[in-house]
Amino acid sequence: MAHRIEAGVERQPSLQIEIDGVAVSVHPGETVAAALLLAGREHCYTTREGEPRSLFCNMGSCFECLVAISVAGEEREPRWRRACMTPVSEGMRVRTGKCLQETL
Amino acid sequence: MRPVDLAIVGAGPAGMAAALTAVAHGLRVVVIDEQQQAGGQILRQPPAAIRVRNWLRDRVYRRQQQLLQRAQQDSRIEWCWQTTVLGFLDRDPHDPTSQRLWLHGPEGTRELAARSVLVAAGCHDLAVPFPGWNLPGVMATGGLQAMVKSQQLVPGKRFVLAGSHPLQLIVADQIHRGGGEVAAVLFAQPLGAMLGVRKRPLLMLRHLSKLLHIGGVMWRLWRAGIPVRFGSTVVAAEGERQLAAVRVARLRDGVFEPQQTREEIACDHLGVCYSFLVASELPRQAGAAVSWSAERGGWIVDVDGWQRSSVAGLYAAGETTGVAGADVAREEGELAALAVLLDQGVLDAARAEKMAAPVRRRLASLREFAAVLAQISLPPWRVFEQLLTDSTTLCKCQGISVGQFGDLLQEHSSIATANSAKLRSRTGMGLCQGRYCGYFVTRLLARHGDISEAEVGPFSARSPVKPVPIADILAREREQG
Repeated sequence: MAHRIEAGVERQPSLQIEIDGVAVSVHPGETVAAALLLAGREHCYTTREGEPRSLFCNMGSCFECLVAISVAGEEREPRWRRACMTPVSEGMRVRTGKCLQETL
Repeated sequence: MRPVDLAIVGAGPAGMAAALTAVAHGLRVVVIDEQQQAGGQILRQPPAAIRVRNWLRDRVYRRQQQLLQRAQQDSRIEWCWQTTVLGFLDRDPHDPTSQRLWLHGPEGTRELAARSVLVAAGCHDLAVPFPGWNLPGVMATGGLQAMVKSQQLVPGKRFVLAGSHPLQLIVADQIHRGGGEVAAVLFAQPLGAMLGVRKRPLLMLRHLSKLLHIGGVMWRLWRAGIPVRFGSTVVAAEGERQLAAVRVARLRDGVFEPQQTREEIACDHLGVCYSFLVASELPRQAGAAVSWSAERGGWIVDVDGWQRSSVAGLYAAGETTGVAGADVAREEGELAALAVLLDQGVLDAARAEKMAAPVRRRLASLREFAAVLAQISLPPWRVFEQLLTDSTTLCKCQGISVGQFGDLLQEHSSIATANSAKLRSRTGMGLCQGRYCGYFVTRLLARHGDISEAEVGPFSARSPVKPVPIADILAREREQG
């Protein structure tokens, strides 16, 4: 399981997001990818064949960490976003394991 | 909208150096990057909300850190964060000298017009396909490192690193210092191949600080009891929907030992790093000429002595022109900015030449060092060939195996180019747009047809070069009526 490095690191007070319906505490500045690792939920989207895809490049080029994200306050429907490039925000909702071919 | 003088894609060493030089001569410069801050991957900073004491203070980073501080403090540079350049749009017929970039950021899509464009988009890990590499838990080593360096998070409990690039040592050290367990660091090449650097003592002496840094890292790994093995690599990742262990084989003359003697190492995360691939899709989409280099990152952008690409007004610097590291990138960025100033008439030829001379002198030595490093960092093709078994997934996005791809080549003798292979097999049509499989598709085709990689050619890069939610494009269309 992943862990935060604490020595010499100062984080701001935590905020709440929801991953697959479960409340998770994270810190401002953390990415959705970091939140997934800390929550032990590494599967991101699922292929048509039912294979899980997960974090790979962690720099926005492979697109394997796509998850369905809704941002609180924005009235839009959830969007596929790269977990590694998306910073967490209060009230954000993340859905993992969805098939990429499904409509969100 | 008046075009900006210079748009720079990428806020790494090349982009930062170019921006500083260009604004110092009065140009209006916009730097676009997908991250939230400057630094690129080499100095991937922690987010502003996470404060880290003594972040990357090792001596080897000093010059890059100075560049970062100068760039961040320069209020003349306009930054455009969390923004992807999706492509070059057709030029405006009323203003044919300007280029139009199509951007996607948190606010949706928009356009940016620029008189000159510098692409300094960096590189990503060369991920060699092998059985099981599509299991969650298998990551690019650079991706593991970014978690530690930027997010200040150790992304697992027990790690194995496998590949051939010296970066592996640095990442093992960072994971260990962050409190992760590193079970093994494996180099496919024999130690002798790495020690080839001894043949260039003077060159190595000039780059002593880098060697000392690696020496210090090796010492810490040794003291921590972390095994670093040469002539050995991961040949399979195993686990049920999540990585649980890796299978390791020793190599003799580049040939894997037989199945029965292969060792198993338990781990929850594996980092793979066999060198790097350049991000050249944007210049390619713009029509810039490229050349093939197996050890410098695949399809690299052709540039002249001023970092000009074959497209008027389009420049390239840093890894995009061939992987050579952050120090080379910084100098090339500076050179590209001088070229822009020369071409826009801000500097006359004599002045530009004079300013470029010391940059070129530094570049010569740095490039020589980078070439040696590139040479020792990439194993011969036969090592990859053994990893690319029939059942190995070649294209993860579309789920195509090496065997399926090979069958198609047998069936359709007309397939010779990467583009024809893409049409038949769908490799390169998925989310990553061939950024990962393209290198292997090219090399496999060259071998299959007994032709050069230049004849195989790259996948055509199309705009958008990265996926974008169609709703974001529609929202923009609606806004504009």
